[in-house]
Amino acid sequence: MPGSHAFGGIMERKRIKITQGKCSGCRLCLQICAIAHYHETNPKKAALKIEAHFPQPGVYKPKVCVQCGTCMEVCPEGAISRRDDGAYIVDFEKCTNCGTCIPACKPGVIFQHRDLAHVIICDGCFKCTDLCNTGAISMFIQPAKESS
Amino acid sequence: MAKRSKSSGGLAGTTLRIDLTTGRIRRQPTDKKLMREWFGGRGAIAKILYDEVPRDADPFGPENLFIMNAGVMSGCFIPAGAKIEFGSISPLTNGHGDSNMGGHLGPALKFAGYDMVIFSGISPKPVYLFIDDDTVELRDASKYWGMGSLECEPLMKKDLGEDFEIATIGPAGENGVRFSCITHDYGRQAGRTGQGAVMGSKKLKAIAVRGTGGITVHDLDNLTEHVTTIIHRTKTHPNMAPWQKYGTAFFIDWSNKNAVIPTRNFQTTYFEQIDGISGDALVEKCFISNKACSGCWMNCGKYVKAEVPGKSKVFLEGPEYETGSLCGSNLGMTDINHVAYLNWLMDNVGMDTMSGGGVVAFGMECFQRGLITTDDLEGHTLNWGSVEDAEHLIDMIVHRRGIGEYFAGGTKRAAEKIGRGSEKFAMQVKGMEMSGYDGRYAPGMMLSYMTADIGAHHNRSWTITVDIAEGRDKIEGRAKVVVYLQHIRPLFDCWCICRLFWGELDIEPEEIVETLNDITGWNIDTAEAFKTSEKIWNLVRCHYLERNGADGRTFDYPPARAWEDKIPTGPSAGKGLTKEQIEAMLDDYYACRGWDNNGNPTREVLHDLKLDFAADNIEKLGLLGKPLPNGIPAVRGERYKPKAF
Repeated sequence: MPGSHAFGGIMERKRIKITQGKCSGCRLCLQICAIAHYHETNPKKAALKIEAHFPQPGVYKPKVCVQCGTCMEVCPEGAISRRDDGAYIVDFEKCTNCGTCIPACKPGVIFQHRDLAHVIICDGCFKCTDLCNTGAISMFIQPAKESS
Repeated sequence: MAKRSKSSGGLAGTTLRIDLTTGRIRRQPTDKKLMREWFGGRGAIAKILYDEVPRDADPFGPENLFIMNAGVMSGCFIPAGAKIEFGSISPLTNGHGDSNMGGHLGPALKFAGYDMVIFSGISPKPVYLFIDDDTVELRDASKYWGMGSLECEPLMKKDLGEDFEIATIGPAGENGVRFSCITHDYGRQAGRTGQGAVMGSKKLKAIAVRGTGGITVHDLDNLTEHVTTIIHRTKTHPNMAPWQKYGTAFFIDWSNKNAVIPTRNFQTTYFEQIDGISGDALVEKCFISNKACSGCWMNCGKYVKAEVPGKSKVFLEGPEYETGSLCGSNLGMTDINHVAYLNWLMDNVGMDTMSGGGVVAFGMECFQRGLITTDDLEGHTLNWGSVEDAEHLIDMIVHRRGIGEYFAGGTKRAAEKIGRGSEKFAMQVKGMEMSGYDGRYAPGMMLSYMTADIGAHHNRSWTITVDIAEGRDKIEGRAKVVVYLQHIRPLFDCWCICRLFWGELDIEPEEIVETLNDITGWNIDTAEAFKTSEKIWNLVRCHYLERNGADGRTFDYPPARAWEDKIPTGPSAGKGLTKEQIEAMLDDYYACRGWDNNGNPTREVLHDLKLDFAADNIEKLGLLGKPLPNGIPAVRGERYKPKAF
């Protein structure tokens, strides 16, 4: 599986770490996410979001997939599956865009877009963390033993 | 209404024309020829204003247009591709005026499907423009009219949705204060040339935009590769860390060390209490979080709080360098909290902190010299370093009470009313106040102010580093550098991206043009880019001459302080310019531009730039430059690479 390593039969997992207080709200992460997955400059097609808390307290809070699996559990169509590296993948053929998973998502990072017939869910490509220049979001590797 | 047009080459596809008098909204496909030949943004605005606004139109009248244009690069995957340009005939200068802001409004407008909005007429009642993708409406703004910008924005977001991008004017703009700004994203401003005042005259309180569409670019794969390369390469640039920590406030201390910081209305260039208002003071005392424009990895914006005893704690983005100097040392402020509070105050009432700082400083010097007294100030004093005094004058200006009426026109108009020699220290050119650098021992910077097409603004040419690197007594050769910088810097205002990454991170113009070609498919080189910029510059010059009816040279002088007063204190003490040096710099500048010695463009240069129609127009007014004995220079401007700090 690209981007992950097997040892002892259990995969280590790459995940996105958020460092609160670092995000500057530039949304480069949203732009590259949409380009990588939909070949389009359109941050509304990204699988993460930046919450702006202004004028007070005056901070941005990134929200990203935590790979909890709730979306897969609630999907009535069985359209979401877990990849070995921990990411949850939407089967575009099976997804009916019913939106059941959207309110179930704890960080609120499943989206619909008028152009698309399926939901948008982070597939763990880490293009966003690769570009972030503030350290607000970064990739970390969860050791295999902690994986579940 | 008609459906949206297709996005291509970085353009969203649709232009809106809105007649505020009748409320009629028309959609039309964005004029690709206009955007290509005039580069969008500032250039497209310059051409439309030149073609469509009658020469005798009052800036506050229905014939003036108010235009917003998001250019070809804004919203695309490009560093700092976040700008939106606003333009109209300036009530401050009576010439072409334009100003831009960062934040997220420009991209949002394009994501909604629009490149440009052109407002005409005057609304019978306060309105705001509501854009939610295909839905475009003028909505009643009576609920918001009278509110401060920083109070209005969160209320509108609460009413409409957090994901709307909002730009507003404050009571200064509503009341016709000629240096009013437009505010967005809790502290991003289109500050200069009084665009907020034009909005106010049209009864246009705000613009609210939400867009969910995408922008199609010419070659997204190449663009993505180029941009990710730039970002990764520059993450470790030595300027990145200080830039991210301080933003432009970094330059407060630098500017003082180099003795160019305006102090007490440009009386001197060195501020003894700089530590109280420096970048370090900002970070230590006020900083809350970093705040970036759309797509920018440099995050120069600093979101701060300001605490002044006896006043409510306030929150805002800023103060950056210009506000920090012009509302700091230039007012004799010694505490960063006071500077940030004044920043908040001006943002909220909706006046440009640069012109606003200049106007208050001018008032303070008038008070220092006894030209105005407490009788003129409703019993208040107007002392250097007093935040309360400054606040009271600002209130008089916003509500145009008493002498506040004079100041609401800017320093030039105020000096004309106050007289008694005050014109000498009204620190403006063409009616617009100077930026935060004293040019008396930085001659290139002085020439930049004198010749900037919209009034004394540094963004057209910023030569402080050239002056310092090449010798501050040097006059010769400055004009060529100023002309070059006036070619390249306004290009960013055309394409609607930020210029700061070019200067700070050693990114060559060629690399930026490469990304422009990725987006647009224009396939141009830097030579063509500079020539188009020169074309826009000359058109704006002709427009200014046509509206103001005199030789260009007569408008290009700074106030007499520039040559009459030597710098009295600090490391540059005793230094200054002579009138002869100022005249010599103008002579050089006009020659370098291919203009005649009266500062009027010649037919030869206008023909070379395909501006024969403008040559015809100024010829009718007797303002066409006399033919140059040796013809026009083949190359106008000399390329200069800014030095890193």
